[in-house]
Amino acid sequence: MKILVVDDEADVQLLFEQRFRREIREGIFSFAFAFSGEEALAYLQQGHYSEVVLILSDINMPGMSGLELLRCIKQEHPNPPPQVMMITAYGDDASYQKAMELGANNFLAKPLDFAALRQMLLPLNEQ
Amino acid sequence: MSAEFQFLPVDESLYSAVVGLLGAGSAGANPGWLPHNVSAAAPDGLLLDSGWKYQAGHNLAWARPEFDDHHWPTITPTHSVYQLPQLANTGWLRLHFRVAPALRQQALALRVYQYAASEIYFNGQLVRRYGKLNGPPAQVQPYWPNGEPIELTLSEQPEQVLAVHYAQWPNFRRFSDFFVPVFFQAHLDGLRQVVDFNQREATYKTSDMLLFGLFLLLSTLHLAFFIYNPAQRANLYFTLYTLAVATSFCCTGFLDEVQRSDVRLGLDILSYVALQTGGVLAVHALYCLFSVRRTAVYYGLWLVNGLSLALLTYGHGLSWYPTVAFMVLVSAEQLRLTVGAMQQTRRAVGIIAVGFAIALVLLVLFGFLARFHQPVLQMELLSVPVHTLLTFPAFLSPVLAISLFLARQFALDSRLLKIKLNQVRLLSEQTLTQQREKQVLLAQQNEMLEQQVQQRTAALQRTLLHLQTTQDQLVQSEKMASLGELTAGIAHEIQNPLNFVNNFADVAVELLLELKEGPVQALPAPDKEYAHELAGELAQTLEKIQTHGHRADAIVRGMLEHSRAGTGQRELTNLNALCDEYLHLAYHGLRAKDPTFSATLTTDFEHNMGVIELVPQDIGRVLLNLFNNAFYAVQMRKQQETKEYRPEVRVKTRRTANTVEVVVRDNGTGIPASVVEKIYQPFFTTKPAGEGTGLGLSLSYDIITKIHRGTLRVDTKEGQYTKFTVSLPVGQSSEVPAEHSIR
Repeated sequence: MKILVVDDEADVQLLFEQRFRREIREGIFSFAFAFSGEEALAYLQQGHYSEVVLILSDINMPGMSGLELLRCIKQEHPNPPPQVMMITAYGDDASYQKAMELGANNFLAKPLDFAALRQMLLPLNEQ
Repeated sequence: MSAEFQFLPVDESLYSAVVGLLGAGSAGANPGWLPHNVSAAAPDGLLLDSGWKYQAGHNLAWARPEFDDHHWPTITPTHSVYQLPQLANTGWLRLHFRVAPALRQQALALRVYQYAASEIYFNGQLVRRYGKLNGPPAQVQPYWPNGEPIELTLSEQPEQVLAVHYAQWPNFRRFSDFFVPVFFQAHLDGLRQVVDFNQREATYKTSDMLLFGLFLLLSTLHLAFFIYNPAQRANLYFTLYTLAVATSFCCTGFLDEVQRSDVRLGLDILSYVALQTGGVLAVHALYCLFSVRRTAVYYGLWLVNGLSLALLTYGHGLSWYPTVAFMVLVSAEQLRLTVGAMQQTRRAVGIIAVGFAIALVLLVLFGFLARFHQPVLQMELLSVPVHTLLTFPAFLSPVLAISLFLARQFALDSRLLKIKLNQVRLLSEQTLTQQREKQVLLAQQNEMLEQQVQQRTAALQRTLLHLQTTQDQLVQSEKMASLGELTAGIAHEIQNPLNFVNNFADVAVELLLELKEGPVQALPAPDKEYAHELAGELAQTLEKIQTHGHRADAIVRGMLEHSRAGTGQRELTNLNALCDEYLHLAYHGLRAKDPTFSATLTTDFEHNMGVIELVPQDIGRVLLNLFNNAFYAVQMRKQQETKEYRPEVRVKTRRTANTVEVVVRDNGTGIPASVVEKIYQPFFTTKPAGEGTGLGLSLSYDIITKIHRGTLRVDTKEGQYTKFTVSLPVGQSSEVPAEHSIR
């Protein structure tokens, strides 16, 4: 299962790779990383759109925000829509409402609980 | 009037005297010359009305006693001139009479009444000249001697001769025999008769003058009444009436003082005119008095007045009956008016009626006596003749009655006026009182108004103060809000790196575990042991990083909660249910960590709590904080003390008119007095590092005081108890909108 993680923090890549080291090694998950919304869109448009099953995106990013990215994905590439989960440090209602309106599949708060995330992702892989 | 009446009785009495004295020796009985025989003094004297000889001419020799006049024609000069058409303008009258020798020594007086001018000769001697005889008839001046006594000096001869040279005033012929009743009348009296006569005359005059005075007085009085009260016109006519009657009596009373017969005649007529006109004026006064409209009857009275006066003045043989008839008419009209007024129940008209009645009775009595018992009228009572006694009150009583009536009315009017004046005074006093009351009321209202203004001003000032406070709070809120945003920003910025710290620590622990299980096993023994030792210490270090990372995480979460407080919406909430829910949540949360812990939960909820408008999440957080603290405190004390200690947390809710209260009381460790002041400060905590963030009470305090405008009070005693009281206002909580509160 290909997962695209969008976050402006570069260390996120290392964290995810180390956290899901076992899953990557076992070939359950494969990760792609984009460090901005624009980069993520570009990556998807380079033909990876069909590969990516899940997008994990931060909301608060320089340039295109996670919510704008969500709108682009959900409205410009509606078919087949990848699973999009938003991750934010701002666990506020407004962002949550907005994300849900734009069609986010889930909404996660930072700091990420990787154990919980793993429990959430594994069933997706089985699908 | 009484002066006028005198003629009748005098005539009558003289007539009877003549009859009585002379018996058959009357002049008419003897043809030719037959002198009077005066033998004794008659009680009323002797009227010389017979035996007179008459001759026209001027001859002064005819005055001599020895002149033979037996061929002269006889005449009765006591008739009126109307009855004596044979009289020439000038001429002589002669009379012979004898006086008894006994009488010759006594004084005899001759009294003369005449409507002519004359010279009286006695026994050839001129004894009096009355008036002016010479010249043409128009220049003759008639004279009224009024029976003044002329003393006669009798001659020695038994026969005495009276000769009268006369001249007529021709105008007398025009008037009736009522006003000019005689031509010439001579009376022979003794001294006693003269005195009696004079006394009687004086009595008549006195009564006339008395009546004149009284009527004049009444006239003046009513004139004054009229002048001071012109509205009562009756007074004016009554004045005129009394004035007319006074004039009448004045004329009558002074009549005999006037020697010129022509003037006397005028006065005589005037007295009747005044009397009759006065009667009509009296009727007029009654019309005014009784407020009766004047009708043809009234104007008819004036006409009859004129007619009767003309008849009286010029009609012969009617005597005074025109006046009597007219006065009867006037009386009838007055009676009619009075009776009419009595029927209309005019107050006190009875007085007038009585006046008229008295007058009527007296006049009827007088008339009766005059007709049938003449002598009774001449009788004297206390030296006043009966007829004066009768006529005097007869004239006066109606006048006095009307006067009394008017005076009474005047008095009543003035009394009424006094009463009205009193009423006016009372009314004005009432008005004054009312005005005063109004002023007092006005003053009170002013005072009230001022008080109201003061109250309003105070209210405005309070509002202003409140607004200022609110503004301060808003400014404070804005500050806090921006501080909150800042805090949130800081928290986020810290959270991101903290996220890495925690996760990388976790990863490091996992990696270290893998290292220990994998590669380290492959190391040679000494290295292996050392590597194990290092790995163990590394694991310990990573654990510390984890612990403190989580601690920092908790702090950041608290800060975020702090900044996020107040974002919730106010809802109508059942406070009792909320308390109950969070109490059990807190209790079971603690029990989950420490299954050995137990405490008694005592709840005392207000029955009539109803629903309160508040932000349930925020208040729930406050309650959770308070309950957690309470349970923590009893748990701490339980660990310190013996088994006899029974942990208890009590929750009580109460509702007053303006507030709701939640009291959370624990019998735990209490709060040291030294730190009570600091408990609401952010980050202040008494818990060991890592167990509390020091933000719970700070957050609760802000939620209660700033978002809900309530109070949070603490009452504690170290080692015994702590009691927190949350007090929230009811119904005013929406004054400050939630969005202006701290976020």
